[in-house]
This record gives sequence, C-alpha cells and structure tokens, in this order.
Amino acid sequence: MPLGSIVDFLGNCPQYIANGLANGCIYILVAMGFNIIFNSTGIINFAQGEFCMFGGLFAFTFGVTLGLPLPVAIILAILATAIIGALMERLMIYPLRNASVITAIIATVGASILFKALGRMFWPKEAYKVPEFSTGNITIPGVTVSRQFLWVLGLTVVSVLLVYLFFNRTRAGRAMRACSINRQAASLVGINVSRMSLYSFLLAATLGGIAGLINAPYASYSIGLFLGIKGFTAAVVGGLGNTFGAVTGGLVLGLLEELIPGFLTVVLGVSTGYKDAVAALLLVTVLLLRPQGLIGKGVVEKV
Amino acid sequence: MAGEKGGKEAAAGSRFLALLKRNRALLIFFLFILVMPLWAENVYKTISLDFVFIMRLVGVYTIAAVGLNLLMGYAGQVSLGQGAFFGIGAYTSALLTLKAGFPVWVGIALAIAVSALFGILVAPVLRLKGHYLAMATLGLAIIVFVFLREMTWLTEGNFGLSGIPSLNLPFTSITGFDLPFIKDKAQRPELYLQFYLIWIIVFAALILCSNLVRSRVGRSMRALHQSEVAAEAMGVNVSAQKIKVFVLSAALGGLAGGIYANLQGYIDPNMFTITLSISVLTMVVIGGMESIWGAVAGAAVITFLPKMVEAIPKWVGDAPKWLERYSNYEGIVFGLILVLTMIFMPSGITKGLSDLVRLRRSPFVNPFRRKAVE
Amino acid sequence: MSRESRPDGGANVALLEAMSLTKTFGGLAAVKDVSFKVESGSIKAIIGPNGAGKTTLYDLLTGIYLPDEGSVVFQGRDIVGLATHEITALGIARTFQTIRLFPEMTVIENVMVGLHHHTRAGFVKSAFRAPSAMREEAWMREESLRILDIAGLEMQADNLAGSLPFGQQRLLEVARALATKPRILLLDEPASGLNAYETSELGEIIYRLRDMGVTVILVEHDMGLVMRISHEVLVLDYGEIIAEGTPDEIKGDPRVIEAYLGSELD
Repeated sequence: MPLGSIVDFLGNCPQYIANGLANGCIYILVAMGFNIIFNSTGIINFAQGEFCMFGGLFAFTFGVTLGLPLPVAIILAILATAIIGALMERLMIYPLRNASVITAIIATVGASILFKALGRMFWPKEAYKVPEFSTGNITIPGVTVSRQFLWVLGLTVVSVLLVYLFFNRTRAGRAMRACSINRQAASLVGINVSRMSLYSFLLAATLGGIAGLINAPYASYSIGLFLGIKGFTAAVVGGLGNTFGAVTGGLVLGLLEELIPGFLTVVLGVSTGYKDAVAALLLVTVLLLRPQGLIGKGVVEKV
Repeated sequence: MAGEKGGKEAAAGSRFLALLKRNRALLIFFLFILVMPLWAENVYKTISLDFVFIMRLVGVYTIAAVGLNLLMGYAGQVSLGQGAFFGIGAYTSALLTLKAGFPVWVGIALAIAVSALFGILVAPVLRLKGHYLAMATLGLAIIVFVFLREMTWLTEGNFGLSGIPSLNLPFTSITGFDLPFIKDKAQRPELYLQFYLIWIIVFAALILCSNLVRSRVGRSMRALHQSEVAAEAMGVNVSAQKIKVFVLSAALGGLAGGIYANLQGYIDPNMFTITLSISVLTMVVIGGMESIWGAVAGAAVITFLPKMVEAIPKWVGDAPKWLERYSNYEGIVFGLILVLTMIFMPSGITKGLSDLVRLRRSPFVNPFRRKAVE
Repeated sequence: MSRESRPDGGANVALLEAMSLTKTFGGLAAVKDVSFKVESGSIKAIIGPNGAGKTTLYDLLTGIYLPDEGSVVFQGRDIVGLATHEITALGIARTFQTIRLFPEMTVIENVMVGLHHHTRAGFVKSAFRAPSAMREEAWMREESLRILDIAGLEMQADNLAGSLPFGQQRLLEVARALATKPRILLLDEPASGLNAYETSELGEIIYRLRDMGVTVILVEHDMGLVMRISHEVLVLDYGEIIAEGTPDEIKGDPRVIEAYLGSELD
C-alpha cells in the first residue's frame, strides 16, 4: 500500500464527507418514510424509493415542461407524490390491512414495479434535468460543494424538524405514535387506525417526494430501487421504526458510501462500480449482526 | 352401518378418481409436450409464435419458479433473490464451458453445486423473518449483480460473455436431430433436441418436487410456514429445515441459470437484475402458492406474453404503436398482476380460480361427504 | 371416575425437576425462583391469576426462552440450552394457550407433523419416494389415525384443522402433542373456551393419557377440572410459588384463598 495514495485519500476526505452528507440527507428522508409507514401499519413499503422517483419527475414536468416557477413546481411535485401515496394506501394497503406478511410484501413489491413502469411510460428518457434551486459552486479549501448542497441540508433539517413537531405537538402525530407502540390498544382508545395508515402513507410519500427533489439535478424512472434499498438500509442502521434513528442511519450510510469506495479506488485501485453494493452489504451485515440497529436497544421477542 | 360402508367406498372411490385425474392431467400434459413439435411448426408459420423455441425458455423458468415456490409458497420464506441464484448458475456454467472447456452438462451440474454453495453461504439470512428477509434477499441480489458487473477480469462485466457452448445430448457429439414427421425441411434439429432435453429435466424436477411436498419433509415446511413456534414444539428443527429448503431452492435456481446460459449462448449481468427475481416471483404468484404444477402455467404466461405482443403486428399488419416494445410496459403488467392478485386472490391465480370452481361444485360434492361422516 | 391414588413403586423419582428458575423481561420478573418436581405418572396442576407467569414457565421448560437463572432437569439431564425441537425429541410436549395449529393443513397432517422426529426420511428419500420413506408414510398415517381416535377426532381426519369448531381444535392440539410420544405433556389452559361437556371429555382424555404412562402438567383456570383430576397443585402469583400441595391442601390454604381463589372454590 503506497503511502502517497493514503495521503491522497486523506486529502480527498473532506470532499467525500461533503458528498456523503448530501447523499445522507436523501437517505434520511427515505428512511423516515420507511419508519413512519412501518410504525403505523407494520408494513415495509417496497415502493418507498418510487415516491422519490415521482418527486423528481413531477418536478421536471411542472418546472420544465409546464414552465412553472420553481417554488410552485416543487410544491406541486410534492403534492402530486403525496396523492400517489394516498392512492396507494386506499387502493392497496387498506384492502390488505388483514393480509399475511407475504401478501403485503408481494403487493408492495408489485406497486414498486408498477410505479417504475408508469414512470418509464410517461418519462421514457434515461434522465431528466430538473432545475436546481441555485446554481454554482462554493469552494472552501479542499472542498467544492454546489449551492444546491446548502438547499439539500436546509430542506432536510426543516423536514426532520417538521416531522418531529408533527409527532410531538399535533393530535394526529401523537395518535400515530400510539399506533406505533400498540396498534390494538390505540384502536381501543378510539384512534382511527385506518386513518393513521392513510396519514402515514401521505407523510412518507411527501418525504419521498422531497428526497426525490433534492436528489436533483437528475431525475429518472430508474432511481427508485437503489434509493429504496439505501433508504431502508439507513432505517435499519438507525433501528427500524425509530423515526429519528433514520438521521444517524442516513448519515452513516451516506458517509460510508463515499469513504469506502474512495478508499478502494484511491488506495487499492479498485473500480468505483462497487459503490452500488456498499448499501446492500451494510444492510445484510447489520440485519445479521444487529437487527435492532446500531443505536437501537435490544428487544425481547415475545412468542 | 350399510350407509357408513357405502360412504367409505364412495370416499375411497373418489380418492382413486382424484389420483387418476391427477395422473391423467400429468399424462395429458406430457403427451402435449411430446407431440408439440408436430403442430408447433405450422402454428409458427401461421401466427409467428415459435412454440418450441419459447417452450424451451418456459421450461427453464419453470425450474427457477418451482424452486422459489418451495421456499416461498410452501415454507413461507419470501425471497427476492432467486434471480441472483439464476445468475450465479448461468455464470458458473458459462465460464466453465466457455473458458475452461468443460462439457456443457458438467458445467450445468457445477452450476447447481455453486448456486447451492452460495445458498449455504448466505443461509444465515434465514434467521430474519418476513419483510426483513425479503429486504435482505433483495440486498443479496443487488450485491451479486454488482459483483457480476464489476469483476470484469472474470465476467467481462457489462460486455457480457458470448459464444457459450450450446446445450446438447450429454456424452455424445450429437447436437440435434431431425424430426422425421416434419415434411418441410426448414429444420431446426438443435432446437428439438434442446426442447426435449429441457422438458425431461423439467418433468423430473416437477415430479420430484411434488413428491417432496407431499412427504414428511413437505409437511414440516408447511407447518413452519403456518406456525414456527408450533412446528418447533412438534420436534421440527425449524432453522435447519429452512436452510435445506433455501439451498434446494438456490440449487434449482442455479440449474435453471446453467441451462439458460447454454441455451442463449450469450449472457450479461443485466439479465440477472432484480427484474429477473421479480419475474420469477410473478410466475409463482400466477401459478399459485403451494402449487408445483402451477409453476409451469406461471412461467408460460410470463414467457409467452412478450412473444405474443411481438407477434401481434405480424397478424394484423398495422398494430397500434404502443404494442411495439413490450419491455416498455412489461413492468405495468407484472405490477398489476402482483398487486391485483394479492388483493383479490392472495393464494395465486390458478389456485384462486380452482378454489372458485371447487366452491361452485361443492353442493355436488358435499352429499357424499356428509354420508361418509354419518 | 374418581381420583386414583398416586402410582407408587419406584415412585418419588422426579421425572422433571425445575430448580430456581428465574426469567426477567425488561426488569420485570415473570418467573422468580421457581422450583418444583414432577413425579412420573402424576398429574400436576399449575394455577394462578392471569399474568402469574404460567405460560412463561412453560416457555422456559420447553426451551422457547432461556432462563436467566436456574435449571431444568429432565430424566436426570439438564435440558437448559437445548433447542425446543430437541427438548420435544427427549419427551416433553406441550400445547398452546392461544391455539397454534397448522390451520391450512388437514387434521391428520397436523398429527403427522407431531410424528416428525419419530421418522427419518429426508429430502432425497422423500423426493424419490424411497421404499423406506413410503413405509414411514404409511406408518405415520396409521399411527396418526390411532391418536386421533384417542382424541375422538378420527372422523375429522381429512378436514382442514382451521375449519374445526373451537373445542375440537383444542383437542387436536392435545392429539398433535401426543403424537410426539412425550413422557411428559404440558397442557396450557386446555379447557378454556370449552363447554361443560367438552371439559369433562377432556378430563377423560387426560386420565387416559395418564393410564398410557404420560405424565401431565396442567395450567388451567377451570378449578373444577383442576381439583377433580390433579394429584398436586402448584400456585403461582407474580411469578412466585405461593403454595404447593394436594388439591385439598390448596383448597384450605388461607394464602391461596386470599391471594387468588377467593370465592371461586364454592
């Protein structure tokens, strides 16, 4: 291992960290979507990544095809994604509320395939360029980040805060937390569990839509699978169901995904293509070694 | 007393009939496959659907789908990774026959072995349940795909492997035969040979698997599906049993992949993405959970669909433009099949339909039953 | 049928012995320092209010949970740490308070699963229908019918377990556990949800098991049944043993009356 290449790697680290933070933000939002739906329905929504896909593609349609002002386009894109989430819940999840786990898995996998195919049908090109919130770069010695990066950070922080306030300060949020602790008990004290399931899909789709937006400048029908698995990995790393564990999980994954391939490429000269496997490897490892998440508490499985 | 005896005889009689019926269905299907090339050539000429050609692929996918159905339908463990085992089998056989000069059938046998070995290697994921297992197997599928793509020194990456030796009769130099009864000598001797070879394997696999699921082992699989705790309390070593089914399922995936590589002559990593896993899953869903022979139906529907869509323009001259590339909306078809089936008949389409039929018939069946009980 | 005397001759040999079993869930002791012996051929009842730790105790005995402390000795062997299926194979079978049949398998198939560890045919032999596998299969079917006959379910053999009426599902659970050919059978509230007639049937079946040489431990709320059939009663409250003795002793024990029984006895 040549020493020089290690020095190079260390020199690149600030840049890796910046990129990792940016990606981590996206994963945080996707992971929170997984957690929110899991908490209120017990379902892992395999179509979560496709919400992001819709977010980006709708932003292109509203912002570029229809030429609406960017803020309007963004709000409409988020709304449209949220509506898709709500439709999915009413048309598919609600009828399956008493179905077996296998049925639920296959159905949401089916939804993800369906969404991706619809995306491909209406947005057939490999990639669409969504306008950035601000253009240009900022350079601090050692790191170059786009101005967009600041938006990404800001939007993520605001989203996480809003979700936090929602869960802690609103009736609906508290009701959803009650559902996540014990659905049956929640329904006994008069919480409308079915409506909570709808809210959770609305909220998760909204977060997914935002994640898709900040994933810009490029949007594509094909991003869903990888964003989905990465978001889920972030959720598992932070402890599945722990809404705010997603923050840690997303950041850990974002950073590892930059640092590991960076190290492999710069120091060992291995192809960066392996980057796509980092999240999946982390996912399988964590699921096997610490299924309760890196920061979760041990849980006793009641038989 | 007499009534009871009569009832018992009737019950025994109906059981015998059921057995006959089952075997008859098997027999008819076997004959159907046997004589298929007879009429398939004419069908090909008239409606441009190359049955023999397509049925080879149906056979391959049937094997992979049966493997997944043992794991998912019977043992209740959802895997989104069947495509990965298929890919590992395909690459094993392709590399061994292409680069190391192994005979095709040795390549395929080792494809089974390597896939099974990989299955044993990743079997710890079976400690996970439900959604977690599904996600972990999805993760494995992605890992395998990325490694197939990136290990270019071995797999040539996205460039793919071409010129893979073709499937032939084992231990001979015979690579095909002419069918005497086909007058038109637009012969495709290799095709017929492959068709029969594949279907011999498929029949063997299906019969063995249907024996398996009706045995002690099959019962333990279904039992642990319905209640792991109870199965364990009944003396079933649940984790060991899960691993065995998983490895068997992986081996079948590897067998299918090995045959596929030697059938197609060319493979690249993009053939073995998560889309393949989902296709196999869709086949199982169409064929029905806990249905061995349903796998054939599932594989046939999914394999024939694109070919039929491709053939439509040739029938009607000017077909609507959207029909042109099936692959563009294949996902919509798969997605709708999966979602709608789960909502309306979660045990799968063929099973759902046959349950409906049984329900309709039940008034005629019940009188016998009641008599048997009295 | 009246209660019969405890079998003697080689008696007082504990078939199963629990020693200072303790299990805590998140700081709450579900079972605390529980020790008892079960003699071969006896019927022992464990009673106590809901949440007293009875089912947890079963889970500890059958290896579903590992105890935090203590040991379980069965036929002179410490079985703590063995997997549930290994414990079943040694001869401890159980039923479940919430019915855990295999609802989509037929009644006879449910019982045949219970015979799992008495048969050997693996994947290969089963797939090829090897003669030995076929012989086993025939034996399992015969044996299962015999067991179903004991439980009075032979007429239901080919019906789906999930389609049985509730009472028969409880009986099937017993039959299925019996198929494992246990030395000792742990019944978890077998009479709950049964009507008076079904309960007395159940009592008969438990006697028949005892006559067959099966030792029975019974967790039950139906005091009539408990007092009628058991040789010994153990009373748990908040995970601890508060009394142990013959049904008559328990009936008169003021602590038990105070802690739990109240007026239920009369």
